[in-house]
Amino acid sequence: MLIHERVAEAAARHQHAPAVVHDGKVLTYGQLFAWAEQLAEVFAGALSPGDRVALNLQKSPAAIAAMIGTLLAGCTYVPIDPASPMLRRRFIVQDSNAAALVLDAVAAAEWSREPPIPNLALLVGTCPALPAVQRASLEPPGQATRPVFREFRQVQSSDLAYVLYTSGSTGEPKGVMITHGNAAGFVTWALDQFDINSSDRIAIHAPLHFDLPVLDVYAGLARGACLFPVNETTARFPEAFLRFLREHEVSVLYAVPSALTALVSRSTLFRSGIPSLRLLLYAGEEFQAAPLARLMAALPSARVFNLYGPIETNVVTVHELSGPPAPGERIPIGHAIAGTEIFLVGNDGALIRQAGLEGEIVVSGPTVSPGYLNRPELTAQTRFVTRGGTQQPAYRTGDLGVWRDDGLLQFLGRRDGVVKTRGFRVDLGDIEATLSACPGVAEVAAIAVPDPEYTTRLLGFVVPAPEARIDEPMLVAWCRHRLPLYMVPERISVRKRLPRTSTGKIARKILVSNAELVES
Amino acid sequence: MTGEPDPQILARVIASLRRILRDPDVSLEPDTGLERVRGFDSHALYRLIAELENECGVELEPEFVVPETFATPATVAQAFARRRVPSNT
Repeated sequence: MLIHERVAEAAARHQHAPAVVHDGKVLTYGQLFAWAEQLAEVFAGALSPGDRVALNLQKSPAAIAAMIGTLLAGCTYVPIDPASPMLRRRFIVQDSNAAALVLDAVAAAEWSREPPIPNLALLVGTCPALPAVQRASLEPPGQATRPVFREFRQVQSSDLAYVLYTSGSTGEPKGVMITHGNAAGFVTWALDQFDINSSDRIAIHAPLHFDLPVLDVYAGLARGACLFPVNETTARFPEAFLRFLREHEVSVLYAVPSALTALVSRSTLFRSGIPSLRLLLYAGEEFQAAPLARLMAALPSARVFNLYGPIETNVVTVHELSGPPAPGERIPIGHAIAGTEIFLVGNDGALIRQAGLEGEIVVSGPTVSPGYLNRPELTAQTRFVTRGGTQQPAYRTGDLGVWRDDGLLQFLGRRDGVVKTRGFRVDLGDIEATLSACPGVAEVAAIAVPDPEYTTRLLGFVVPAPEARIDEPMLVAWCRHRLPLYMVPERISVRKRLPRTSTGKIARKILVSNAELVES
Repeated sequence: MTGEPDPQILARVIASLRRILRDPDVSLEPDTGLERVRGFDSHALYRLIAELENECGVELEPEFVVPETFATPATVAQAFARRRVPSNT
């Protein structure tokens, strides 16, 4: 069953049950689905099947209704980080060839200062300054409106459900295409794996342009659970987030380790825990043993699972922790989820079956994305064909792993310039390309310095062109107008030259080892 | 929070914010709403707390790390002023 079909089935079954609680307002399943149908009607009337619908929305009931409405209409949604700079948002709208743009009031005010977007067939939201062929309201229908559960368009599992943009190596983000089959495979597994039910209260902590909320929204709604979107301000303050979890008696939480580590170190979690929490899932980066052990000690009633999978594959491995880890212990990413095959591949391209040997993690299965939007060469670069000739595309993750003696997979790190910071994936090449494009810049390097709280912190190094006058504030401002905040280096050091290896490459290890000099 | 913030602590708060944000376009006044200041994310928040704890010689307990405390530079200064031990005691 496809993800929006599961939501429709649950909405029919739980019409009067709360579906989303946000800012003190409760939306029932009937109201949420009626809102989604109202939007689906608009999309189906103005757009062709498969058209992209860009969603520039805060995490909210409107965003969830727009996601479901897009799928009902047989279109593909593209969630945009509302906190990212306009240049990046505009790039995503144009790169995805979005036929429709959905804006809330905050986004509408921002887009009203922008030049028009060519060929916009539909604008949902109030933004008179932005031209579009058709316009519609984002406002919900009247409270008494009931869903009719009609089929707007038939959808195939090979059709695209959504496109998630992630950091690329060229200074421009790349769109990962997720089909209905990919999404359905993942959600079906999640429903089998985790006993989510109609009494659950699920916090949506991660931003909607991230892949984590796919589980929150679709697995949660499929089972009649109630969703609690966490707004940006609450998410920023660990104590406020803790109060939110306690106040709403959240029972299921899926978050990145950085956010959970902040709860451990910067909130009053240890005074009374979160008694309602029974299921804690984390993914996105490696969780250090010490804060994880403290977290588990504070949450004795919660089962804890480590999930692994790049955006391109959805979640593909799972590991349930049997208890708090020992000091310094590295948590395995576990075993492959049902229907998925995991390979380790050596530098020579041969499969590694023996425990203890490092290799690149390659994934094949129904949840693996067909590739990057409009980027066939990049897609081809990430494909791997086994000698056995697997029928499904296998994706080279760029992650390094090792089979342990107990048969579980251990994540070891990356083989390229991709790093994680605060749970977000960042290609250092993306930062370097952005800095390089700044007038007056001759040479650049971006590095990631290990950090116990954020996984890594980002630093930039710039060599100015002869006679160019550039300084750190100017470079920071340049980056802030082009990159999401989490990608803007914490410090950008302007140097006369960068250290070199004997082969003439930039000596990144020297930059990392001297990072303290930059930070002080 | 009410009352005038300690001018010295307020100056420290604003100086720290300028150092952390490194954005010449950001105008910081005592009543500037920090929620809308570009660059004031969780990372900047934690750096601000660390700097001020170090400079003021106090620790801000977790229950005070909430949006109300960090609404403006003035509210931040008030929170740190309350935690400071008077020099004549």
